[in-house]
Amino acid sequence: MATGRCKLESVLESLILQYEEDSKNEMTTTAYTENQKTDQQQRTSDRMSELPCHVAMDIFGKLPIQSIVYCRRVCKAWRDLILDPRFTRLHLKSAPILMFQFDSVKIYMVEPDACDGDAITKVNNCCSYMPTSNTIRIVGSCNGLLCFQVDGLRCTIFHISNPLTGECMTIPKIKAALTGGNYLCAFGFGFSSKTNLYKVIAMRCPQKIWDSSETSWHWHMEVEIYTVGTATWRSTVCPAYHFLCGSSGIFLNGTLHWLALDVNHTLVICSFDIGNEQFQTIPMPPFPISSSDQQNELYRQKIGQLGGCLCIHACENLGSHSVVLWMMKDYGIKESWTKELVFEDRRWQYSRCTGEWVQLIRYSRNKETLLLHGYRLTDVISWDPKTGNSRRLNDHGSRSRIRVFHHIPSFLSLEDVVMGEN
Amino acid sequence: MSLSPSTSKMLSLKSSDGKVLEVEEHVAVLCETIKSLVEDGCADSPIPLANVDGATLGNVMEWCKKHADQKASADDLEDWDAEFVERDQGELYHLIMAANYLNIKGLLDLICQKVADMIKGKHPEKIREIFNIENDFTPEQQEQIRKDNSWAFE
Repeated sequence: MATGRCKLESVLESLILQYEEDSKNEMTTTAYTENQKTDQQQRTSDRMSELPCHVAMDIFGKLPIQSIVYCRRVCKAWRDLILDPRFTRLHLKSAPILMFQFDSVKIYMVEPDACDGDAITKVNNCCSYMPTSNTIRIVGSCNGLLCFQVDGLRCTIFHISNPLTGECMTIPKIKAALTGGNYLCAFGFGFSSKTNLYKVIAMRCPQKIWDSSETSWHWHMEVEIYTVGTATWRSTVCPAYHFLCGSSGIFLNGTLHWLALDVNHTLVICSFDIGNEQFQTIPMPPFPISSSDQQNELYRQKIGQLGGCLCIHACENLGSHSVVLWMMKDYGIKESWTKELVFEDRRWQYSRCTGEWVQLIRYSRNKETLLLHGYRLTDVISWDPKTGNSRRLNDHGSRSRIRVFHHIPSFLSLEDVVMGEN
Repeated sequence: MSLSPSTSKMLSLKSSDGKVLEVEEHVAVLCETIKSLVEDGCADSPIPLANVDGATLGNVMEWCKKHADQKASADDLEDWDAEFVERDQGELYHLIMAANYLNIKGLLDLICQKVADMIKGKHPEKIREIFNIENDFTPEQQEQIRKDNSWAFE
Protein backbone atom coordinates (compact mmCIF):
# COMPACT_ATOMS: atom_id res chain seq x y z
CA MET A 1 0.00 0.00 0.00
CA ALA A 2 2.83 2.34 0.86
CA THR A 3 4.59 1.59 -2.41
CA GLY A 4 1.33 2.08 -4.23
CA ARG A 5 1.11 5.57 -2.77
CA CYS A 6 4.68 6.32 -3.69
CA LYS A 7 4.08 5.25 -7.23
CA LEU A 8 0.89 7.22 -7.37
CA GLU A 9 2.75 10.33 -6.33
CA SER A 10 5.51 9.77 -8.79
CA VAL A 11 3.32 9.72 -11.88
CA LEU A 12 2.25 12.91 -13.48
CA GLU A 13 -0.54 14.77 -11.83
CA SER A 14 -2.27 14.92 -15.18
CA LEU A 15 -2.54 11.17 -15.38
CA ILE A 16 -4.09 10.97 -11.96
CA LEU A 17 -6.62 13.58 -12.93
CA GLN A 18 -7.41 11.73 -16.11
CA TYR A 19 -7.68 8.51 -14.23
CA GLU A 20 -10.12 10.06 -11.82
CA GLU A 21 -12.08 11.43 -14.74
CA ASP A 22 -12.16 7.95 -16.27
CA SER A 23 -13.30 6.35 -13.08
CA LYS A 24 -16.10 8.87 -12.71
CA ASN A 25 -17.27 8.15 -16.22
CA GLU A 26 -16.87 4.45 -16.35
CA MET A 27 -17.63 3.22 -12.87
CA THR A 28 -20.85 3.55 -11.02
CA THR A 29 -19.23 3.21 -7.64
CA THR A 30 -15.86 4.37 -6.35
CA ALA A 31 -15.26 1.11 -4.53
CA TYR A 32 -11.66 0.69 -5.68
CA THR A 33 -9.06 -0.91 -3.53
CA GLU A 34 -5.63 0.69 -3.62
CA ASN A 35 -4.28 -2.32 -5.51
CA GLN A 36 -6.85 -2.04 -8.21
CA LYS A 37 -6.03 1.61 -8.53
CA THR A 38 -2.37 0.86 -9.02
CA ASP A 39 -3.15 -1.75 -11.66
CA GLN A 40 -5.48 0.55 -13.45
CA GLN A 41 -2.98 3.38 -13.34
CA GLN A 42 -0.16 1.19 -14.62
CA ARG A 43 -2.32 -0.06 -17.41
CA THR A 44 -3.30 3.40 -18.60
CA SER A 45 -0.18 5.38 -17.76
CA ASP A 46 2.03 4.52 -20.74
CA ARG A 47 -0.38 5.98 -23.23
CA MET A 48 2.26 6.60 -25.89
CA SER A 49 2.61 2.85 -26.42
CA GLU A 50 -1.11 2.55 -27.06
CA LEU A 51 -1.08 4.98 -29.98
CA PRO A 52 -1.53 3.51 -33.46
CA CYS A 53 1.83 3.02 -35.26
CA HIS A 54 1.23 5.66 -37.89
CA VAL A 55 0.34 8.26 -35.26
CA ALA A 56 3.45 7.49 -33.20
CA MET A 57 5.55 7.70 -36.40
CA ASP A 58 3.90 11.06 -37.16
CA ILE A 59 5.05 12.30 -33.77
CA PHE A 60 8.62 11.01 -34.21
CA GLY A 61 8.66 12.54 -37.69
CA LYS A 62 8.17 16.00 -36.17
CA LEU A 63 11.28 15.71 -34.02
CA PRO A 64 14.80 16.93 -34.71
CA ILE A 65 17.18 14.12 -35.53
CA GLN A 66 18.95 14.08 -32.17
CA SER A 67 15.65 13.64 -30.36
CA ILE A 68 14.78 10.69 -32.62
CA VAL A 69 18.08 9.10 -31.67
CA TYR A 70 17.24 9.60 -27.99
CA CYS A 71 13.75 8.15 -28.51
CA ARG A 72 15.33 5.00 -29.88
CA ARG A 73 16.81 4.44 -26.43
CA VAL A 74 13.57 4.91 -24.48
CA CYS A 75 12.08 1.42 -24.82
CA LYS A 76 11.86 -1.52 -27.21
CA ALA A 77 8.52 -0.47 -28.67
CA TRP A 78 9.86 2.97 -29.61
CA ARG A 79 13.09 1.51 -30.97
CA ASP A 80 11.15 -0.89 -33.20
CA LEU A 81 8.93 1.89 -34.51
CA ILE A 82 11.90 4.10 -35.37
CA LEU A 83 13.78 1.26 -37.05
CA ASP A 84 10.66 0.26 -39.00
CA PRO A 85 11.26 0.72 -42.77
CA ARG A 86 7.92 2.55 -42.96
CA PHE A 87 9.30 5.22 -40.64
CA THR A 88 12.50 5.41 -42.66
CA ARG A 89 10.48 6.04 -45.82
CA LEU A 90 8.33 8.65 -44.08
CA HIS A 91 11.36 10.41 -42.69
CA LEU A 92 13.27 10.40 -45.98
CA LYS A 93 10.71 12.82 -47.35
CA SER A 94 11.76 15.47 -44.86
CA ALA A 95 14.13 18.32 -45.59
CA PRO A 96 17.83 17.54 -45.83
CA ILE A 97 20.09 18.61 -43.06
CA LEU A 98 23.54 20.02 -43.60
CA MET A 99 26.75 18.22 -42.84
CA PHE A 100 29.80 20.38 -42.23
CA GLN A 101 33.20 18.80 -42.52
CA PHE A 102 36.06 20.63 -40.82
CA ASP A 103 39.78 19.86 -41.00
CA SER A 104 38.94 16.95 -43.34
CA VAL A 105 38.08 14.72 -40.36
CA LYS A 106 35.42 16.26 -38.13
CA ILE A 107 31.86 16.10 -39.37
CA TYR A 108 28.95 17.97 -37.85
CA MET A 109 25.24 17.79 -38.56
CA VAL A 110 23.23 20.98 -38.63
CA GLU A 111 19.44 20.90 -38.60
CA PRO A 112 17.58 23.08 -41.12
CA ASP A 113 16.29 26.48 -39.93
CA ALA A 114 18.44 26.23 -36.87
CA CYS A 115 21.99 27.13 -37.66
CA ASP A 116 22.58 28.55 -34.23
CA GLY A 117 24.99 26.78 -31.95
CA ASP A 118 22.36 24.67 -30.19
CA ALA A 119 21.30 22.80 -33.26
CA ILE A 120 24.73 21.57 -34.19
CA THR A 121 25.13 17.87 -33.59
CA LYS A 122 28.59 16.48 -33.71
CA VAL A 123 29.08 13.38 -35.81
CA ASN A 124 32.71 12.79 -35.28
CA ASN A 125 34.65 9.92 -36.72
CA CYS A 126 31.96 8.41 -38.96
CA CYS A 127 33.70 5.09 -39.06
CA SER A 128 34.68 3.99 -35.60
CA TYR A 129 37.56 1.78 -36.65
CA MET A 130 39.12 4.22 -39.04
CA PRO A 131 42.24 6.14 -38.06
CA THR A 132 41.17 9.75 -37.71
CA SER A 133 44.51 11.03 -38.87
CA ASN A 134 43.62 10.13 -42.44
CA THR A 135 41.83 12.58 -44.62
CA ILE A 136 38.25 11.58 -45.28
CA ARG A 137 36.70 12.58 -48.57
CA ILE A 138 32.92 12.51 -48.73
CA VAL A 139 31.94 10.80 -51.97
CA GLY A 140 28.23 11.30 -51.57
CA SER A 141 25.10 11.01 -49.47
CA CYS A 142 22.03 9.07 -50.48
CA ASN A 143 18.98 7.87 -48.48
CA GLY A 144 20.75 8.59 -45.22
CA LEU A 145 23.88 6.66 -46.14
CA LEU A 146 27.25 8.34 -46.45
CA CYS A 147 29.92 7.07 -48.78
CA PHE A 148 33.42 8.28 -48.03
CA GLN A 149 36.85 7.52 -49.22
CA VAL A 150 40.23 7.28 -47.56
CA ASP A 151 43.34 7.36 -49.67
CA GLY A 152 46.02 4.91 -48.73
CA LEU A 153 49.49 4.60 -50.21
CA ARG A 154 48.65 1.86 -52.67
CA CYS A 155 44.90 1.77 -52.79
CA THR A 156 41.79 3.76 -52.22
CA ILE A 157 39.38 2.47 -49.61
CA PHE A 158 35.71 3.30 -49.71
CA HIS A 159 33.34 3.00 -46.76
CA ILE A 160 29.58 3.27 -46.57
CA SER A 161 28.13 4.29 -43.25
CA ASN A 162 24.88 5.28 -41.68
CA PRO A 163 25.95 7.90 -39.14
CA LEU A 164 22.68 7.54 -37.22
CA THR A 165 22.76 3.82 -36.60
CA GLY A 166 26.55 3.64 -36.39
CA GLU A 167 26.73 0.91 -39.02
CA CYS A 168 29.69 1.03 -41.33
CA MET A 169 30.93 -1.27 -44.06
CA THR A 170 34.11 -1.29 -46.09
CA ILE A 171 33.69 -2.12 -49.72
CA PRO A 172 36.24 -4.15 -51.71
CA LYS A 173 39.47 -2.35 -52.49
CA ILE A 174 39.81 -0.76 -55.87
CA LYS A 175 42.88 -1.27 -58.05
CA ALA A 176 45.38 1.53 -57.69
CA ALA A 177 46.62 3.49 -60.70
CA LEU A 178 47.33 1.06 -63.51
CA THR A 179 49.89 3.16 -65.26
CA GLY A 180 51.28 6.61 -64.66
CA GLY A 181 48.54 9.22 -64.66
CA ASN A 182 45.72 6.69 -64.65
CA TYR A 183 44.56 7.69 -61.20
CA LEU A 184 41.02 8.09 -59.90
CA CYS A 185 39.78 11.61 -60.39
CA ALA A 186 36.00 11.78 -59.92
CA PHE A 187 33.61 9.88 -57.70
CA GLY A 188 29.96 9.37 -56.97
CA PHE A 189 27.49 7.44 -54.83
CA GLY A 190 23.85 6.92 -55.69
CA PHE A 191 20.80 4.71 -55.76
CA SER A 192 18.41 3.57 -58.46
CA SER A 193 14.83 3.08 -57.35
CA LYS A 194 14.19 1.06 -60.53
CA THR A 195 16.75 -1.59 -59.67
CA ASN A 196 16.87 -0.99 -55.90
CA LEU A 197 20.66 -0.97 -56.10
CA TYR A 198 23.26 1.32 -54.58
CA LYS A 199 26.39 1.99 -56.60
CA VAL A 200 29.72 3.68 -56.09
CA ILE A 201 31.47 4.92 -59.20
CA ALA A 202 35.00 6.17 -59.75
CA MET A 203 36.41 7.59 -62.97
CA ARG A 204 40.06 7.36 -63.93
CA CYS A 205 41.80 10.21 -65.70
CA PRO A 206 41.16 10.16 -69.45
CA GLN A 207 43.84 8.57 -71.61
CA LYS A 208 44.69 9.18 -75.24
CA ILE A 209 44.83 5.96 -77.19
CA TRP A 210 45.65 5.14 -80.77
CA ASP A 211 42.68 3.81 -82.70
CA SER A 212 44.23 1.75 -85.51
CA SER A 213 40.95 1.24 -87.39
CA GLU A 214 40.38 4.97 -87.74
CA THR A 215 44.08 5.75 -87.62
CA SER A 216 43.64 8.56 -85.16
CA TRP A 217 44.06 9.36 -81.46
CA HIS A 218 41.02 8.99 -79.20
CA TRP A 219 40.35 10.05 -75.64
CA HIS A 220 38.78 7.42 -73.50
CA MET A 221 38.06 7.07 -69.83
CA GLU A 222 38.00 4.02 -67.63
CA VAL A 223 35.09 3.91 -65.22
CA GLU A 224 35.01 1.65 -62.20
CA ILE A 225 31.59 0.68 -60.88
CA TYR A 226 30.81 -1.11 -57.65
CA THR A 227 27.31 -2.37 -56.87
CA VAL A 228 26.79 -2.54 -53.12
CA GLY A 229 26.49 -6.16 -52.02
CA THR A 230 28.66 -7.61 -54.78
CA ALA A 231 32.21 -8.89 -54.41
CA THR A 232 34.20 -6.81 -56.89
CA TRP A 233 34.40 -3.64 -58.92
CA ARG A 234 33.55 -3.75 -62.62
CA SER A 235 35.58 -1.77 -65.11
CA THR A 236 34.23 -0.27 -68.33
CA VAL A 237 35.48 2.17 -70.97
CA CYS A 238 33.41 5.29 -71.65
CA PRO A 239 33.61 8.51 -73.65
CA ALA A 240 36.08 10.79 -71.94
CA TYR A 241 35.29 13.73 -69.71
CA HIS A 242 37.82 15.88 -67.92
CA PHE A 243 36.90 16.46 -64.29
CA LEU A 244 38.45 18.56 -61.59
CA CYS A 245 40.52 16.17 -59.57
CA GLY A 246 38.51 14.85 -56.62
CA SER A 247 35.07 15.90 -57.88
CA SER A 248 32.16 14.27 -56.08
CA GLY A 249 28.95 13.82 -58.02
CA ILE A 250 25.71 15.57 -57.09
CA PHE A 251 22.99 12.92 -56.72
CA LEU A 252 19.55 13.88 -57.97
CA ASN A 253 16.77 11.95 -59.78
CA GLY A 254 18.65 8.65 -59.71
CA THR A 255 21.51 10.34 -61.54
CA LEU A 256 24.95 11.69 -60.61
CA HIS A 257 26.13 15.04 -61.94
CA TRP A 258 29.54 16.66 -62.31
CA LEU A 259 30.86 19.71 -64.09
CA ALA A 260 33.33 18.58 -66.73
CA LEU A 261 34.96 19.37 -70.03
CA ASP A 262 33.97 17.09 -72.87
CA VAL A 263 36.38 15.84 -75.57
CA ASN A 264 36.02 19.17 -77.43
CA HIS A 265 37.00 20.98 -74.21
CA THR A 266 33.54 22.48 -73.86
CA LEU A 267 32.14 23.00 -70.36
CA VAL A 268 29.20 20.64 -69.78
CA ILE A 269 27.23 18.94 -67.03
CA CYS A 270 28.12 15.28 -67.24
CA SER A 271 25.48 12.94 -65.86
CA PHE A 272 25.54 9.25 -65.04
CA ASP A 273 22.33 7.25 -64.63
CA ILE A 274 22.75 4.82 -61.72
CA GLY A 275 20.14 2.46 -63.19
CA ASN A 276 21.26 2.03 -66.82
CA GLU A 277 24.89 3.17 -66.27
CA GLN A 278 24.83 5.57 -69.23
CA PHE A 279 26.64 8.90 -69.41
CA GLN A 280 24.81 11.90 -70.83
CA THR A 281 25.32 15.61 -71.19
CA ILE A 282 22.91 18.09 -69.63
CA PRO A 283 22.78 21.62 -71.06
CA MET A 284 24.44 24.42 -69.09
CA PRO A 285 22.63 27.62 -68.08
CA PRO A 286 22.63 30.29 -70.80
CA PHE A 287 25.37 32.45 -69.36
CA PRO A 288 28.27 33.65 -71.45
CA ILE A 289 31.30 31.42 -71.31
CA SER A 290 34.49 32.68 -72.83
CA SER A 291 35.38 30.06 -75.38
CA SER A 292 39.09 30.61 -74.90
CA ASP A 293 38.95 30.00 -71.20
CA GLN A 294 36.87 26.88 -70.71
CA GLN A 295 39.40 25.22 -68.47
CA ASN A 296 39.25 28.14 -66.10
CA GLU A 297 35.44 28.07 -66.19
CA LEU A 298 35.58 24.61 -64.66
CA TYR A 299 37.04 26.23 -61.54
CA ARG A 300 34.75 29.22 -61.52
CA GLN A 301 31.39 27.41 -61.71
CA LYS A 302 30.10 25.18 -58.99
CA ILE A 303 27.38 22.58 -59.33
CA GLY A 304 25.02 21.67 -56.54
CA GLN A 305 21.47 20.95 -55.63
CA LEU A 306 19.09 23.22 -53.78
CA GLY A 307 15.48 22.38 -53.04
CA GLY A 308 15.53 19.33 -55.32
CA CYS A 309 16.77 21.32 -58.34
CA LEU A 310 20.09 21.10 -60.05
CA CYS A 311 21.86 24.42 -59.66
CA ILE A 312 24.99 26.15 -60.77
CA HIS A 313 26.48 29.17 -59.16
CA ALA A 314 29.01 31.24 -60.91
CA CYS A 315 30.49 34.65 -61.02
CA GLU A 316 29.61 35.94 -64.44
CA ASN A 317 32.42 38.41 -64.84
CA LEU A 318 35.97 38.04 -63.76
CA GLY A 319 36.78 40.21 -60.78
CA SER A 320 33.12 41.00 -60.14
CA HIS A 321 31.50 41.38 -56.75
CA SER A 322 28.53 39.21 -57.52
CA VAL A 323 27.69 35.55 -57.69
CA VAL A 324 24.73 34.34 -59.71
CA LEU A 325 22.69 31.31 -58.78
CA TRP A 326 21.03 29.42 -61.62
CA MET A 327 18.42 26.76 -60.95
CA MET A 328 17.11 24.16 -63.39
CA LYS A 329 13.42 24.22 -62.44
CA ASP A 330 12.43 21.29 -64.66
CA TYR A 331 15.05 18.61 -64.64
CA GLY A 332 16.77 18.17 -68.00
CA ILE A 333 14.91 21.05 -69.71
CA LYS A 334 17.39 23.65 -70.94
CA GLU A 335 14.74 26.42 -71.11
CA SER A 336 13.96 25.96 -67.42
CA TRP A 337 17.32 27.37 -66.25
CA THR A 338 16.34 30.39 -64.16
CA LYS A 339 18.56 33.11 -62.77
CA GLU A 340 17.37 32.77 -59.19
CA LEU A 341 19.57 35.01 -57.13
CA VAL A 342 22.42 37.48 -57.41
CA PHE A 343 24.59 37.59 -54.33
CA GLU A 344 26.50 40.80 -54.10
CA ASP A 345 28.67 42.30 -51.45
CA ARG A 346 31.44 44.73 -52.19
CA ARG A 347 33.35 43.71 -49.09
CA TRP A 348 34.04 40.36 -50.65
CA GLN A 349 35.51 40.64 -54.05
CA TYR A 350 35.70 37.55 -56.14
CA SER A 351 39.06 37.84 -57.68
CA ARG A 352 40.24 35.83 -60.57
CA CYS A 353 41.75 32.88 -58.86
CA THR A 354 42.07 29.27 -59.70
CA GLY A 355 40.81 27.91 -56.39
CA GLU A 356 37.26 27.41 -55.27
CA TRP A 357 35.93 30.60 -53.82
CA VAL A 358 32.25 30.46 -53.16
CA GLN A 359 29.61 27.83 -52.60
CA LEU A 360 25.97 28.37 -51.74
CA ILE A 361 24.99 26.12 -48.86
CA ARG A 362 21.40 26.90 -48.16
CA TYR A 363 19.05 29.07 -50.03
CA SER A 364 15.37 29.82 -49.87
CA ARG A 365 13.66 32.80 -51.37
CA ASN A 366 13.54 35.83 -49.03
CA LYS A 367 15.26 33.94 -46.27
CA GLU A 368 18.75 34.04 -44.92
CA THR A 369 21.16 32.50 -47.36
CA LEU A 370 24.21 30.65 -46.20
CA LEU A 371 27.32 30.40 -48.24
CA LEU A 372 30.92 29.39 -48.01
CA HIS A 373 33.51 31.83 -49.12
CA GLY A 374 37.20 32.33 -49.23
CA TYR A 375 40.07 31.22 -51.38
CA ARG A 376 39.91 27.80 -49.76
CA LEU A 377 36.29 28.02 -48.61
CA THR A 378 37.08 28.82 -45.00
CA ASP A 379 34.28 31.21 -44.07
CA VAL A 380 30.60 30.54 -43.48
CA ILE A 381 28.70 33.65 -44.43
CA SER A 382 25.09 34.48 -43.76
CA TRP A 383 23.47 36.85 -46.21
CA ASP A 384 20.06 38.46 -46.00
CA PRO A 385 18.71 39.06 -49.51
CA LYS A 386 16.21 41.65 -48.27
CA THR A 387 18.72 44.01 -46.71
CA GLY A 388 21.83 42.84 -48.52
CA ASN A 389 23.62 42.55 -45.17
CA SER A 390 26.06 39.77 -44.59
CA ARG A 391 28.11 38.54 -41.66
CA ARG A 392 30.61 35.82 -41.01
CA LEU A 393 29.35 33.05 -38.72
CA ASN A 394 32.54 31.18 -37.92
CA ASP A 395 34.46 34.10 -36.52
CA HIS A 396 36.63 32.12 -34.17
CA GLY A 397 39.93 32.17 -35.88
CA SER A 398 39.89 28.74 -37.49
CA ARG A 399 40.90 29.04 -41.10
CA SER A 400 40.62 25.40 -42.06
CA ARG A 401 38.90 24.35 -45.20
CA ILE A 402 35.21 23.52 -44.78
CA ARG A 403 33.16 21.15 -46.88
CA VAL A 404 29.40 21.22 -46.75
CA PHE A 405 26.97 18.74 -48.18
CA HIS A 406 23.30 17.89 -47.93
CA HIS A 407 22.26 14.74 -46.15
CA ILE A 408 18.84 13.32 -45.39
CA PRO A 409 19.22 11.25 -42.23
CA SER A 410 17.50 7.90 -42.04
CA PHE A 411 17.60 4.72 -40.03
CA LEU A 412 18.10 2.62 -43.12
CA SER A 413 20.04 -0.46 -42.16
CA LEU A 414 23.11 -1.39 -44.18
CA GLU A 415 22.12 -5.02 -43.71
CA ASP A 416 18.89 -4.33 -45.59
CA VAL A 417 20.79 -2.53 -48.34
CA VAL A 418 23.02 -5.53 -48.89
CA MET A 419 20.12 -7.98 -48.47
CA GLY A 420 18.14 -6.03 -51.08
CA GLU A 421 20.83 -6.99 -53.53
CA ASN A 422 20.30 -10.67 -52.83
CA MET B 1 -33.46 17.17 -37.03
CA SER B 2 -33.54 19.19 -40.20
CA LEU B 3 -34.01 22.91 -39.73
CA SER B 4 -34.99 25.75 -42.03
CA PRO B 5 -32.61 26.18 -44.98
CA SER B 6 -31.35 29.54 -43.68
CA THR B 7 -29.57 27.89 -40.74
CA SER B 8 -27.09 25.04 -40.96
CA LYS B 9 -28.51 21.56 -40.60
CA MET B 10 -27.89 19.99 -37.21
CA LEU B 11 -26.38 16.55 -36.75
CA SER B 12 -26.57 14.56 -33.58
CA LEU B 13 -23.54 12.58 -32.48
CA LYS B 14 -23.69 9.89 -29.85
CA SER B 15 -20.55 9.24 -27.77
CA SER B 16 -19.37 5.88 -26.43
CA ASP B 17 -20.83 6.72 -22.99
CA GLY B 18 -24.22 7.51 -24.47
CA LYS B 19 -24.07 11.30 -24.48
CA VAL B 20 -25.75 12.95 -27.46
CA LEU B 21 -24.27 16.14 -28.88
CA GLU B 22 -26.07 18.39 -31.35
CA VAL B 23 -23.60 19.91 -33.81
CA GLU B 24 -24.03 22.04 -36.90
CA GLU B 25 -23.35 19.99 -40.00
CA HIS B 26 -20.73 22.36 -41.44
CA VAL B 27 -18.78 21.99 -38.17
CA ALA B 28 -19.14 18.20 -37.88
CA VAL B 29 -17.99 17.57 -41.48
CA LEU B 30 -14.48 18.70 -40.51
CA CYS B 31 -14.32 15.08 -39.39
CA GLU B 32 -13.72 13.18 -42.63
CA THR B 33 -15.39 10.13 -41.11
CA ILE B 34 -18.62 12.05 -40.48
CA LYS B 35 -18.34 13.84 -43.83
CA SER B 36 -18.39 10.57 -45.73
CA LEU B 37 -21.39 9.40 -43.70
CA VAL B 38 -23.22 12.65 -44.59
CA GLU B 39 -22.28 12.30 -48.24
CA ASP B 40 -23.54 8.73 -48.30
CA GLY B 41 -26.81 9.89 -46.70
CA CYS B 42 -26.28 7.76 -43.60
CA ALA B 43 -26.28 10.63 -41.12
CA ASP B 44 -29.98 10.89 -40.25
CA SER B 45 -30.24 9.07 -36.97
CA PRO B 46 -27.84 9.97 -34.11
CA ILE B 47 -24.43 8.94 -35.39
CA PRO B 48 -22.90 6.44 -32.96
CA LEU B 49 -19.22 7.12 -32.26
CA ALA B 50 -18.19 4.00 -30.38
CA ASN B 51 -14.57 5.10 -29.85
CA VAL B 52 -15.06 8.62 -28.51
CA ASP B 53 -16.28 9.46 -25.01
CA GLY B 54 -18.55 12.41 -24.34
CA ALA B 55 -15.94 14.72 -22.79
CA THR B 56 -13.50 14.18 -25.66
CA LEU B 57 -16.23 14.58 -28.26
CA GLY B 58 -17.07 17.93 -26.67
CA ASN B 59 -13.42 19.04 -26.95
CA VAL B 60 -13.14 17.83 -30.55
CA MET B 61 -16.29 19.68 -31.57
CA GLU B 62 -15.04 22.83 -29.81
CA TRP B 63 -11.93 22.65 -32.03
CA CYS B 64 -14.01 21.96 -35.16
CA LYS B 65 -16.32 24.87 -34.38
CA LYS B 66 -13.40 27.28 -34.10
CA HIS B 67 -11.81 25.98 -37.30
CA ALA B 68 -15.10 26.04 -39.24
CA ASP B 69 -15.47 29.73 -38.40
CA GLN B 70 -14.77 31.63 -41.61
CA LYS B 71 -14.10 34.86 -39.71
CA ALA B 72 -11.17 33.51 -37.67
CA SER B 73 -7.81 34.79 -38.94
CA ALA B 74 -4.74 32.55 -39.22
CA ASP B 75 -3.01 34.34 -36.32
CA ASP B 76 -6.15 34.09 -34.26
CA LEU B 77 -6.38 30.33 -34.90
CA GLU B 78 -2.73 29.84 -34.05
CA ASP B 79 -3.13 31.52 -30.65
CA TRP B 80 -6.34 29.65 -30.01
CA ASP B 81 -4.73 26.31 -30.93
CA ALA B 82 -1.78 27.00 -28.63
CA GLU B 83 -4.21 27.43 -25.75
CA PHE B 84 -6.32 24.46 -26.83
CA VAL B 85 -3.42 21.99 -26.51
CA GLU B 86 -2.58 23.10 -22.97
CA ARG B 87 -4.02 19.94 -21.50
CA ASP B 88 -2.91 16.99 -19.46
CA GLN B 89 -1.56 13.87 -21.11
CA GLY B 90 -4.73 11.88 -20.64
CA GLU B 91 -6.80 14.45 -22.50
CA LEU B 92 -4.17 14.74 -25.22
CA TYR B 93 -4.19 10.97 -25.62
CA HIS B 94 -7.97 10.85 -25.98
CA LEU B 95 -7.87 13.76 -28.43
CA ILE B 96 -5.26 12.02 -30.59
CA MET B 97 -7.28 8.80 -30.62
CA ALA B 98 -10.45 10.71 -31.48
CA ALA B 99 -8.78 12.82 -34.18
CA ASN B 100 -7.39 9.63 -35.68
CA TYR B 101 -10.73 7.79 -35.52
CA LEU B 102 -12.73 10.74 -36.84
CA ASN B 103 -9.98 11.49 -39.39
CA ILE B 104 -9.36 15.18 -38.64
CA LYS B 105 -5.92 15.85 -40.08
CA GLY B 106 -5.55 19.39 -38.71
CA LEU B 107 -6.34 18.36 -35.14
CA LEU B 108 -4.19 15.23 -35.32
CA ASP B 109 -1.26 17.30 -36.60
CA LEU B 110 -1.75 19.84 -33.84
CA ILE B 111 -1.75 17.30 -31.00
CA CYS B 112 1.12 15.28 -32.52
CA GLN B 113 3.16 18.49 -32.66
CA LYS B 114 2.30 19.16 -29.01
CA VAL B 115 3.49 15.68 -27.98
CA ALA B 116 6.63 16.09 -30.14
CA ASP B 117 7.33 19.37 -28.32
CA MET B 118 7.11 17.49 -25.02
CA ILE B 119 9.78 15.03 -26.24
CA LYS B 120 12.05 17.50 -28.01
CA GLY B 121 15.46 18.08 -26.49
CA LYS B 122 14.95 15.57 -23.65
CA HIS B 123 17.19 12.67 -22.75
CA PRO B 124 15.77 9.11 -22.72
CA GLU B 125 15.51 9.02 -18.92
CA LYS B 126 13.50 12.23 -18.87
CA ILE B 127 11.21 11.03 -21.67
CA ARG B 128 10.49 7.81 -19.74
CA GLU B 129 9.68 9.88 -16.69
CA ILE B 130 7.33 12.23 -18.54
CA PHE B 131 5.35 9.46 -20.23
CA ASN B 132 5.78 6.92 -17.44
CA ILE B 133 7.39 4.41 -19.79
CA GLU B 134 9.09 1.36 -18.43
CA ASN B 135 12.66 0.80 -19.57
CA ASP B 136 12.45 -2.76 -20.92
CA PHE B 137 16.00 -2.99 -22.28
CA THR B 138 18.35 -5.38 -20.54
CA PRO B 139 21.52 -3.72 -19.21
CA GLU B 140 23.46 -5.47 -22.01
CA GLN B 141 21.14 -4.14 -24.72
CA GLN B 142 21.32 -0.69 -23.22
CA GLU B 143 25.09 -0.77 -23.22
CA GLN B 144 25.07 -1.89 -26.87
CA ILE B 145 22.78 0.94 -27.96
CA ARG B 146 24.87 3.43 -26.06
CA LYS B 147 28.00 2.09 -27.75
CA ASP B 148 26.39 2.26 -31.21
CA ASN B 149 25.69 5.91 -30.79
CA SER B 150 28.42 7.00 -28.44
CA TRP B 151 30.60 8.29 -31.25
CA ALA B 152 27.74 9.88 -33.11
CA PHE B 153 26.25 12.20 -30.57
CA GLU B 154 28.25 13.95 -27.95
